[in-house]
Amino acid sequence: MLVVRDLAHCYPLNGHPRWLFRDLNFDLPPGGRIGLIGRNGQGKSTLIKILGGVLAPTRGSARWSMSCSWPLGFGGCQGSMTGMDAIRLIARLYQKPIKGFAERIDDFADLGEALYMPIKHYSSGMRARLGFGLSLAIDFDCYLIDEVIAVGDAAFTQRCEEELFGRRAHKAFIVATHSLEFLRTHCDRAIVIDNGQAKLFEDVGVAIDVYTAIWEEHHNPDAIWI
Amino acid sequence: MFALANERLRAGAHIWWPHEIFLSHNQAVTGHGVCPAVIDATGRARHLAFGPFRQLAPGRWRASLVLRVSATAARRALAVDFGAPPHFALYNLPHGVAGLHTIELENTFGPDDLAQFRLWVKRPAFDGEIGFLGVALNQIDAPSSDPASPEGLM
Repeated sequence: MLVVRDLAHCYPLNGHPRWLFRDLNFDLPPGGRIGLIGRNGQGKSTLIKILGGVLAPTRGSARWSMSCSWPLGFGGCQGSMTGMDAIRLIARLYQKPIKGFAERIDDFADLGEALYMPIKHYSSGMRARLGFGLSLAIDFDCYLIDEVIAVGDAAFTQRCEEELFGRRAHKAFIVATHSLEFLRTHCDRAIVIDNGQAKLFEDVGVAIDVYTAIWEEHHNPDAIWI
Repeated sequence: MFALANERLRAGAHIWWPHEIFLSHNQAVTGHGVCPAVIDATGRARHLAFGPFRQLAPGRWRASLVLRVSATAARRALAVDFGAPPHFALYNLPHGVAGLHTIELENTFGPDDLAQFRLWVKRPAFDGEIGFLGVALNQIDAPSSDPASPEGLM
């Protein structure tokens, strides 16, 4: 279970606090699936990082009683490390035998010789494949995903979906996405983030309607009267 | 469940419809509850308050109300109307104006009309609160042929 209570985050902007969200409350049970939607810069990635423990919230708490992945799509590996270094690091942290572990990741990431190159020379797609492969090699109860599925080609997207939503259909996840179709297909609840607020919607269809209206009004302020 | 009750009154009569006798969209779905005094506009385009489907004495009526619109709700397309199908008097709240809005709407009702007042948000809304205590009704004109209500008019 993930229990989020009164979560809030702000950062200073021109000497004033700019709130990304305030008073966010929700629970995520095992197997629950929450999508995060919002315009660019509204705080989706920040919320994912806070839930993953990468960032501290300004106030409030996120308490986990199930294991959760690091945020997929978050480029957390030091750039001078090679892909294989990252695999060894994760294997040690999670006490996995390196032999089969590295093979499983390489099989998914399909990096070939690039696995022995520094990560700073990887393309965004290669980083995503490595990061996704590392996450899938550990049996987490919940996966935090930050748009990683949108990175890379169609084959990679399909493979991610098979791995995450096929083989791990019983796992929980929280995913930040711009894809309303993805949200409709894979999520059972949604959080919309906009203009300093984050709201949980029990009905994904309502969340999609609300987000669509936000998007239309942002791009065409007169849309409110259409 | 709709409240059906007669409000047969003589000309010049006053009625107060408090917010509790109205329905809200979500309550209509679940079938119970009352319209709160502070309504959260978050959700789909819908009626935030509607009802109470009551008969008024035939004639012309004026509905007066005050809405307290929050700064976030002021960014939404809000409207109120008053009448009975298919004839409603409509008022669109001005965009971007938060605070108190005093609104008056008039309409003419026949003997079989079930009067409604409706507050609605025209597009899906991410946020916004609207304070709504109720609607005051005044009969401003009654048809001369009106049989002055068989019940002796309240």
